[in-house]
Amino acid sequence: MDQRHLVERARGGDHEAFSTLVRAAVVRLDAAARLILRDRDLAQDAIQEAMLRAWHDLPGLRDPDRFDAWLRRLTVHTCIDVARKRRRRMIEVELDPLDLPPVADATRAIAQRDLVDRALAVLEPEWRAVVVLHFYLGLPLHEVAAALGIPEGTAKSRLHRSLVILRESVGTSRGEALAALREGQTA
Amino acid sequence: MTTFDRLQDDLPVTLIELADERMPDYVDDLLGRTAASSQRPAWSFPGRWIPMADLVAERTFVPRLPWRALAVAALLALLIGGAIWFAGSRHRVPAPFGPAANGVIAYATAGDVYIGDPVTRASRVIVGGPEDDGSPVFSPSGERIAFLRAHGAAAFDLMVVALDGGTPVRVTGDPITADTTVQWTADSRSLFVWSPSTSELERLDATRQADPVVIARNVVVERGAVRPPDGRQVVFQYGDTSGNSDGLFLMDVATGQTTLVRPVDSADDHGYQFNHPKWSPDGTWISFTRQRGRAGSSDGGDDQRVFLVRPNGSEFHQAAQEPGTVVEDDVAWSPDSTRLAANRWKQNAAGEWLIQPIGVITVATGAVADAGPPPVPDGSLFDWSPDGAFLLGLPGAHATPGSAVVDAPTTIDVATGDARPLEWTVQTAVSWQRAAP
Repeated sequence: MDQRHLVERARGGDHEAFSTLVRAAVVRLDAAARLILRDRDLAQDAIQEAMLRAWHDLPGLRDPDRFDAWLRRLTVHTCIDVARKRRRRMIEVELDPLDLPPVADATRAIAQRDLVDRALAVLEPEWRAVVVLHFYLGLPLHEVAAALGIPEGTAKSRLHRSLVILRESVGTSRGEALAALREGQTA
Repeated sequence: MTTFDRLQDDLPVTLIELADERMPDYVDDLLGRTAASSQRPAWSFPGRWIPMADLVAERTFVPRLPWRALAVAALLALLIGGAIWFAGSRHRVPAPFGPAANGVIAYATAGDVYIGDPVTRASRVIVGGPEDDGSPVFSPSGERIAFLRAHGAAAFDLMVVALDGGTPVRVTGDPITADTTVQWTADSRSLFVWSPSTSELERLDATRQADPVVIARNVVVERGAVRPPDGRQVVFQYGDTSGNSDGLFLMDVATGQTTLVRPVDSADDHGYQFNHPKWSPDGTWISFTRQRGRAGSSDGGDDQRVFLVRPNGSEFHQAAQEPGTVVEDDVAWSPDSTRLAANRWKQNAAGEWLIQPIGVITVATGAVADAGPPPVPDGSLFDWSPDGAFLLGLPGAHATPGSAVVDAPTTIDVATGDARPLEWTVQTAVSWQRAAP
């Protein structure tokens, strides 16, 4: 059964069809949510909230062919909502790192993955979402803008400035890591 | 290759590694929760129709002259007098907001736009032809009708046609989607258009002789969001223009300055706190719907009520206090701003949602009264008559743009509950013209 048919059935209240759609989409959306929120529990909350909203609001989706974009938009918006709520509660609980290696492990710290991971942490969730949608989900900028509900120009500038920040952070971390290595070698 | 280039080139692969894709272990639990929760009625989504609440009109029909046997001179005199009366009547336009007399009704069927007299039931076509047209809505002046023309499978052009004939003018450049918000400005010269794909509020010239003007960016604007009577403010929910904080906000259209009306309640974990904000016709209240608790949970997450707040944030309260788990939605203000009408559903002990008659809430007391019989389970698409005595609705079926479902518009006498279907069949929302008293 093609996706359009599944969406039409789900829109009419067929929960089995909805389950099939969710199972097909949730792996990437969950991963995107973790990248944006940098916290597995928060990501889980966001995905659950987004899927509940999706089921709840699905009858309002007019074009079944837009389901993927609609679900993506819903998920990203929910992530940002969750991040904003979290921001208000930052005093209570600090954000968790995303499976970061021990800082002292200088050898691993110079790995590109970890440098990028730490650099991503510098960005606000709204900006991180632009990076994730563009570079992880592979969306062109106009679709990134649509998913986030922002003008394309804003998405473009956020992406550019995010890359500048990432570059600076990666560069700084690389320098710190090299310095740590040197210190270790000379100690 | 620079560090910047390498970073950019490596990012997709790096992010895939970081993402660590796997099927989440909570999916079964999640699907169990969705299965246990109900879907929202299709009716209750913004943008399914363009607004009827802000409509104004003027003349309806020119009365017949009964004395045909008069002499030529007398007839000429009468015609001259009639012409003078007609010219004068064109200026007898009611205020853009508030109570008015009931005029004709615009509706669409089989892809054509008609107007009909609800008293005589006579009707005539305004826009015919092979195009698929629907969702007509009168301008405040009553001289124009805006409508949606299908553009492909799921897109529309916003069109405007003069009531006295002429070629429809396409107002929008790019096609819009059905969830676009459209509202006439009070002077009938322009339309506010908000698109969810851009999050921009634009003012479009109804004749397309002037360039579009972007009023606001990064906002969520729904029907009824432009403040009566002068449209100087727009109410919107969620982030301010920099996207940094949550709440219900006002934006000054002239300056772009935003003012917080009400912040989100951080103790309430639900994201939907200021749904469908809408001004009362006198511009003194803002209504919105609010869900409580987490959606789909047992802590009242499915309960949704109408709330009211003054533009300065004061007198924030739930409009009615009906007991039980209730969903109130599709709020429409009476023209005199004293009452609200809403579709409503109640949850029974088995967790089933049962549609109720349209509820009419008295703002001053919070009392709720049933209006007419219950519509279909999705609720009715309705609005008030200009004089506030009736509700005009489509109680029997969906009426989304592009829908093939046919329904009969029905008037409900708010005082008696008497429901009377009109003879016309329609495929999209209808619009009741306001006339000078």
